[in-house]
Amino acid sequence: MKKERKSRGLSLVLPLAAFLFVLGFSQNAHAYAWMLQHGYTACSTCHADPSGGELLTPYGRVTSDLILRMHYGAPAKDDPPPSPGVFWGAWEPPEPLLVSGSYRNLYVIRPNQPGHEVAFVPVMQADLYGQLRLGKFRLGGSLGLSKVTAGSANARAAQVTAGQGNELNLIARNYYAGYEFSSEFLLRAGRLNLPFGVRIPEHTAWVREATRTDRESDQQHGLALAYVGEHMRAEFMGIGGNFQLGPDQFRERGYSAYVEGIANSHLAAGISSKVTFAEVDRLTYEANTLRQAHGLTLRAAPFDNLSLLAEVDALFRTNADAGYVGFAQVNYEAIQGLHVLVTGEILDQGLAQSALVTSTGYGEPNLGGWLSLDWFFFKQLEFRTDLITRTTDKFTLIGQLHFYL
Amino acid sequence: MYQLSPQRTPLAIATRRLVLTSAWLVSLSFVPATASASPSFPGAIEQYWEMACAPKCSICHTENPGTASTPDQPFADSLTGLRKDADLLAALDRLDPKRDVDGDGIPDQDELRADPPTDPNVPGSGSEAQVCVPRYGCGAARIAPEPPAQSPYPALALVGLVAAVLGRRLWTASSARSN
Repeated sequence: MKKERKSRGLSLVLPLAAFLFVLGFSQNAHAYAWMLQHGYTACSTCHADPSGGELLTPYGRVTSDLILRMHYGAPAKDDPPPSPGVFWGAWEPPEPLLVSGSYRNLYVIRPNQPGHEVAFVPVMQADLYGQLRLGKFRLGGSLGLSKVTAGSANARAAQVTAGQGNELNLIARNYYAGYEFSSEFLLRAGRLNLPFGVRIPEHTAWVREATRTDRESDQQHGLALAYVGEHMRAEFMGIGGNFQLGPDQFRERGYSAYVEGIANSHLAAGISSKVTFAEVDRLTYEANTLRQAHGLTLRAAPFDNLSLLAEVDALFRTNADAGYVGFAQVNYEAIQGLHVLVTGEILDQGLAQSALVTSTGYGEPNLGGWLSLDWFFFKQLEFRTDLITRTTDKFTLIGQLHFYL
Repeated sequence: MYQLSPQRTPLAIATRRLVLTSAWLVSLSFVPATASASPSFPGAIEQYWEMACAPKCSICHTENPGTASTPDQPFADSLTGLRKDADLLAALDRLDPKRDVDGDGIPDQDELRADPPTDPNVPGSGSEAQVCVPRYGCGAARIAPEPPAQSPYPALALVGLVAAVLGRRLWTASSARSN
């Protein structure tokens, strides 16, 4: 009995200690739109966010144990059922409280970048998520740590603390107060993921970078109304700007919206639209820039172990020709828990009027291809590696170890 | 789709051992990162001239962010060899108030003190002369001043220890079942 209690305590304390110990540095998040191949069309069954990502529900945690990860042999008769608790089942929070978290590290190999051939980020992401449900009200958010180089485009926009250099900063990607009008409608105010396109974990994919809709740090403050129905899900967000950066001239304001029709448990198609204006663009420093992205998405699972994700968006911005961005990704689950992904992408952001000649990605298409291996090798543990080749960067190999609570 | 093995065969047990060992080795195979450049000069310049914002590194450097080898803009002609904020402030004290490196008739200092400030290297006030960079965060204090370079190894060792403990527990449970 004593030994059992000691062992249980150890299983709680050690993962907690590990997480807190490495919580010291950060960039990223996860949602698996390809869960469609298991018949999951809606995101809110497994995630607190109605459009998917980050904070897991107890059902989501059990589902990840049953059908996401690799199993090594059939379960024995006396095996306990998967636990919905966090820390590998060590703690089950009370029902109104959701708790989760995510840690990723990253290595990057780029032989074509002299001086930066090999890089290691010990903590690419270290976030804790939570949500408290009080009747029809919800309060939720994330808190993490980030340590990026000066001038980095990653993590900065989610900073809470004001270090502008390579010091450690506290970050909050999401936080909100919400009200459920019914089981279908949820209104939230706060800093939220932008509803746009296919919600994929690859935050450096061009469809997410060019539309500025990744979940790494592209969230904005605003008001969002989400609808999740049997045959349709949708979210419309009015964007008031990112108040975690300043001065005000750099804040983008407008809207972002996504509507997806669900034909059946293996086919869904959607429309996205986003329009924002900033006095000065925070990344390009262009003045009085109106940026627009409008596009289509497709999620399909023609076979039980194969899914297709695709998105194409038209891009418009002030003082530049129209552009476009798109991606298509085939995901083949060879063995439960082991995914082979092949991704193609294309990007042309349009030639700026001030530019004299076209260049790759600006007036000329930039092409990219990814070959990825995604291995959910143990309960709430994932190893992923991606070989990426692009017109502008011939060889990049990245790898990441990820665990989530 | 199929599962790897219908029974707890020696192969399945060996595979699980392999997985746990791999996780440990994958963690240990990573190498430490290199450090980056000092970022404090834009903030020091902002405070010195009470600017409306922190300026881009490119008022002094030909790259953004700047590095020690790139302070090659005309405005930085007399600001080279600076190692810390005090060096920079002393050099700014010595600058001629009438110095105008882009020859647009507006002294460099006045360009940086204007609201919005403009680039002393670029004539005019168009978008190409924009020097403000966004400031990130909610204005709270830093949670740590310039920490020393952090080694990932203690963290990885702890993660590995956790994996080993969990693996041992699984192994024990598996053995108990098979008995």
